[in-house]
Amino acid sequence: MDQTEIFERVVKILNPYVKNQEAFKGISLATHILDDLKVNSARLVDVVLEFEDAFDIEIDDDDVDKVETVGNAVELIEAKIG
Amino acid sequence: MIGNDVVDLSDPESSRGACHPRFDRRVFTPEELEALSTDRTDVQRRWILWSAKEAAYKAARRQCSGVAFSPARFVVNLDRSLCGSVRYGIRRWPVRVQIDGDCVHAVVAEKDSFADTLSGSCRLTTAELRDSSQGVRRFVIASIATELGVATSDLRIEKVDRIPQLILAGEAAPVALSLSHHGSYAGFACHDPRIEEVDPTPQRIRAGEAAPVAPSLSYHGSCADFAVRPDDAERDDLH
Repeated sequence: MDQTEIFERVVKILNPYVKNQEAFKGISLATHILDDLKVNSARLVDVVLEFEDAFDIEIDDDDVDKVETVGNAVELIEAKIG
Repeated sequence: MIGNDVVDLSDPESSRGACHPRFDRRVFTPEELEALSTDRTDVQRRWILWSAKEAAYKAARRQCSGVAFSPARFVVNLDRSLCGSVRYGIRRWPVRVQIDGDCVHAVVAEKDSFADTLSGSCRLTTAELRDSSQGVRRFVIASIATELGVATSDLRIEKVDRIPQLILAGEAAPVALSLSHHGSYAGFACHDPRIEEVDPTPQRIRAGEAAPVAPSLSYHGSCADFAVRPDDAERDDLH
């Protein structure tokens, strides 16, 4: 799975949790998940669990802490799926 | 240090079934899960625990940027009046949770009395929700201005490195401020600027006095350790 495909799947997972639709329209690897998309912290837990399900990976809390942007999420998933 | 978190129980996100099926196991300790399992319909209880964890995380993050967003490591103990503590490794913060209608508001402070803490929550109006960030700031400024007896024009809130900072009469007030917003509700907690803030830096006491050393505490999960680094002035004395 290449980075573009991971990005598209990440965006699809994030979509229902996004509060700032304007920011979502221009979503990129640099988009900040909490600050720009206004995904709240409880929903971030759901997002991570959906990443685990969608990519069949395990993401621990220390990994989650490094995920601030969409690009961070894509890189983390890419590393996990090898 | 201070932290707060607000949850709107009427928001669809807070309803039972809105969370991922593994949400509870991911964020709660076995003891907390046990408490929840005794009343599976108690949505309120879930968000009381969550808000306490989140408020403590915000306080912890201010003290140590290396604290991970790991809700299960924040262990909540509350009594029937929803007062108690949140523990993270060797750290422990007093916590107070208040319920007002659909609003759950948790505040974490340095002292059990909360005497040096200003806090509050409110329901934002429909107009305020159009720009919730400004709505939250207006509420917080009005609340703090009333408490301090100053004009709202004397107060501003700015973000420095993503952390809200209270500006009083044009100068950064040396106090911690925590903002929160969820659904229709806003909340805040702020160290009272009229009371000298307690230095959260851990001190090693020697012969009844603060020793000229810089202790460093670190913690991860249930593990903790510490180191004491002599400062330059004292290092020669130790050889």
